[in-house]
Amino acid sequence: MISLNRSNCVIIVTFIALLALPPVLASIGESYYISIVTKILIYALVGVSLDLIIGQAGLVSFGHAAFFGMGAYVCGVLSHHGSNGLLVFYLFPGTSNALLTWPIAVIVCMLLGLLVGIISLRTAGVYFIMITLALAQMVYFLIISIPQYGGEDGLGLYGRNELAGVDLNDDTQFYYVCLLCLVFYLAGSIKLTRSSLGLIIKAAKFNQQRLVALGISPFKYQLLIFVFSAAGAGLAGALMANLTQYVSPDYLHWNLSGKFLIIVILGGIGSLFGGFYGALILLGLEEVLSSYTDHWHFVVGVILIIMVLTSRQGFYASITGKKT
Amino acid sequence: MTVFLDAVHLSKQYAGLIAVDDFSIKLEKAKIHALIGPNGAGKSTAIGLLTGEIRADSGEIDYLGSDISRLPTVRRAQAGIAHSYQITSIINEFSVLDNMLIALMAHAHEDAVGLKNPAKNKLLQDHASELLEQFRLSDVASRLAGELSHGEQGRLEIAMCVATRPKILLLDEPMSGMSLMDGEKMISLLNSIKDSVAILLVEHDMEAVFKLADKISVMASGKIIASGMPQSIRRDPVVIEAYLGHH
Repeated sequence: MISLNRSNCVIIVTFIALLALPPVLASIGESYYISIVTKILIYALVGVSLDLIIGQAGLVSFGHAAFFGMGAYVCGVLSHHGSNGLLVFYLFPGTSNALLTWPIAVIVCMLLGLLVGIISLRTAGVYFIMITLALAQMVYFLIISIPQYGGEDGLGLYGRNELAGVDLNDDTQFYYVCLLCLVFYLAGSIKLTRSSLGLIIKAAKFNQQRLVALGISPFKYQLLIFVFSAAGAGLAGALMANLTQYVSPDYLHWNLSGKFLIIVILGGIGSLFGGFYGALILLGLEEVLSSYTDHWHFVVGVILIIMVLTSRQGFYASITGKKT
Repeated sequence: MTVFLDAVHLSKQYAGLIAVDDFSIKLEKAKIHALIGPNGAGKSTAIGLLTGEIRADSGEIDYLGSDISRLPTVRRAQAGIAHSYQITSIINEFSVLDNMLIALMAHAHEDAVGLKNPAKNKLLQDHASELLEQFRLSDVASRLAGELSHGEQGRLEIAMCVATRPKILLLDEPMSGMSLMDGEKMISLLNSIKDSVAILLVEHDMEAVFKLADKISVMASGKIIASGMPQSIRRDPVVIEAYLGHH
């Protein structure tokens, strides 16, 4: 039985609001906003995945866009070849079946996460930040150097993927699919953090010396959470490629890695659910402010500074009164 | 007598400064070997050489018949060498119970490491309560380790070491800064666990050392200057000159 404490109430209310949003928007004739909220859900998925590394493992990754962008590109390239009938890298046919493109995007991102993790988890602190940034930028330059897939111009898709029984081209249905992905990933993340594996990963964040002196080498556990995190970001990337029907090199760029970090910090490091609220605040602010002024970046910056100064624990902690 | 660990001719230099010079020590099962000496004598460095946190320039460490002097710390710990630090090293941000769970999962309950919530693993929980009981920490099990008294923190650290089922316990000043009562508790605890392990005890509290030690080695300027039974060490003029005389 779920107890009705403040944080559970906040989560339940949020979830019901998200479930009810499409019919409400349709009834007031503002269905345009569904795409914006879908984008928030997708960014929330990245936020949750990044918070696993930052909040649980205590490692600040400044290269999360690499997984997001890679997921988008894998999905985009497969779909691209699915439409034009040519072979991917002259090896295998493309497809626009979501049950293939999305899992493949996730698996490729997990492999990339394994590689990046094996290299970067040998370091910590500032060095970890720098090495994840450097590796992510390598991925960025690698992808834009492939002219077949649009180079710096990105790659347009012919519609969204196909999923049996669901019309992904319908914004409302696509919205619910994204919500489902977020809920499942969140559930998995919570399971992981409450497990004994999660306890060891957190122990490594606080006192690695003690862990090693006990005979536990945290590397493989940290690698596991890093790969799981990459999977979430990769799935989000595949969803983003579908949402915009376009794959942009911007999805791989370090600017976006920074944005993901802001989402996690705003929402509240270590809270997992904070990933959603961080995405809601940041993208919401962008959406609202950019309709008033061209200088909205500046205003967003000022608001972010105020928010971080007034609520160090992040937004989720502020509304739930829960320390993370 | 069963020798668990036999370190010979260990040396460590830092940029010309000799921290440990030709250090040899034998640790035997069910015996407490005390290592005393003035500050800066190289006692903590010697422990570091045994755990692998400090790499020896030369010398060998035989542990249960194999040379472990090239093994990294984590492997030595897995093999059964546990270490409590001079500055207590526990996970302050965790509850006392969670600290115990981590220590138990290191060795005794390796199979508990997985996606299951450790709170729902009865075997693990029972074992943890047992150890907390033994180390008189049951009452504070749900408190954050960082909020405990100095004495309780020291006991928790040693309880965590014991949870890994070690053969060797390296204790770096386990009683420093403790109240008289906590010190007494520690002495009776160490006596109660000593049967299955070999203990190296670095300690400044001479009363505790003479109560506990089966053998005492005295270090000064990186060298062992005397080694023997407590009674003979107490009377050794070299030791009195170098160390005991100051007290």
